[in-house]
Amino acid sequence: MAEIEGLNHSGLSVPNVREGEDFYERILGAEHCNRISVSTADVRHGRSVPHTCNVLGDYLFVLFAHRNKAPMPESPRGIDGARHGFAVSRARFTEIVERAREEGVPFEGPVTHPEAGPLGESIYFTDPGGNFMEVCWRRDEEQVYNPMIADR
Amino acid sequence: MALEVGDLASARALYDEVFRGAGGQWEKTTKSLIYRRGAQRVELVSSRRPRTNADAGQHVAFRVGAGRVSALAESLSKAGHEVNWWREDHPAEQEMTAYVTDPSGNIVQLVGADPTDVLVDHVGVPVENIEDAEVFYLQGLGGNLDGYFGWTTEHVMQSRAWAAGDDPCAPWTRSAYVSFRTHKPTPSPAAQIFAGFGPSYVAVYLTGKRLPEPPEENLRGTPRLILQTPASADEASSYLAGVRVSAVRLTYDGGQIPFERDGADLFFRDRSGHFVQLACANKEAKP
Repeated sequence: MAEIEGLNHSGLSVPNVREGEDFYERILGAEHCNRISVSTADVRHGRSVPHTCNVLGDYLFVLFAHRNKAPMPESPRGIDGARHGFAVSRARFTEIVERAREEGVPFEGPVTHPEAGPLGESIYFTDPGGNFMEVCWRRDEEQVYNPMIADR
Repeated sequence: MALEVGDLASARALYDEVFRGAGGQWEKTTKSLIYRRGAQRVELVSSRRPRTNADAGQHVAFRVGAGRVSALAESLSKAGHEVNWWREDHPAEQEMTAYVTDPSGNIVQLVGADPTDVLVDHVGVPVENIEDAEVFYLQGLGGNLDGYFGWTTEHVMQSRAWAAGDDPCAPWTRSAYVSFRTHKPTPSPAAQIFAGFGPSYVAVYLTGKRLPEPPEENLRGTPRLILQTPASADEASSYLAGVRVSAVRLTYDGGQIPFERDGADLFFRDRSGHFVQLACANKEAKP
């Protein structure tokens, strides 16, 4: 069995790659790394439209265009609630909520989680591609969350 | 814009037709003909083997007058010039128009708009890296992002219509190379940005053709995009010496723009080897 050593990146599809990147940079503070499928060599290998590579903390993700029109999910929670969850410190959580409000991003929450659990509060929203997202703060934020990375 | 032509006389015959009614003036030098109209000029430079980049779709678009495109295209076709009817992706180019090949192979697009204010509507420049080019033309040279194409689902779907023969797009705006992943032809839009400079724009598009690369040390040549600035040559030189354009944030690649100065003109190349001339204001340096 393959012993996977960690998550390398995610690929997220959006209807407009440039608008998608702007959303992640403006709302979540993502940093642009580079774009792929942007060279003649890529074109000659049959790659399609440019993808953007962005970083949120230690998380690398790639945005690419849907190949077909994909309807936005009816519920802000997406088709089945499957989502990416991002964490910020408790001190910065309010700042994130305010930014979403100022930028006019529809969101659900803040939702307060049970005290017995690891999460404190969360807000939920979708990106321009209908990908369902969560931003939370953790009650155990002093704990090392990912021992595999911490051990390196 | 400076274009290479094999024979000045036959080039003059075609461009006389194209520029009819524009109100400009011809000027002759030893090796070129220059047509000046207001602040813009078109230089036809004599060359034994004209370099056109036409197979990659490099082209220049002239405004020839509203309602004149069809008649002019027909006249040029009867004179033996190749004429194609295509459309492109800039919002102002969605309708089909005529593309004429001049006797030396340069592609000339006829735009049905009034030429009395602006003669050169736009220049189409193929590049080998659209990210580098965007940083160069927008951040480096200060162009405005007038729009873009080829970055959305909608554009991918349009390229399928082109592959099915239902959309007469200019050939450099689409491709269908075999995908390394699916091993099937993948209709795709060419990624494009439209960089506005004053009343005209440069349509920069990612090409699937390999562009002939001039030697690195050659900073001037033709075809050549000629931009104008109100800055003096000293000011423009100082700016170019300081600007560093690098599309890759995580790695510094020394993205400076090497240039050469000749009087009030600066000469340099974009990252795909296209020559650019910056015509600066002739300001006397203050003592």
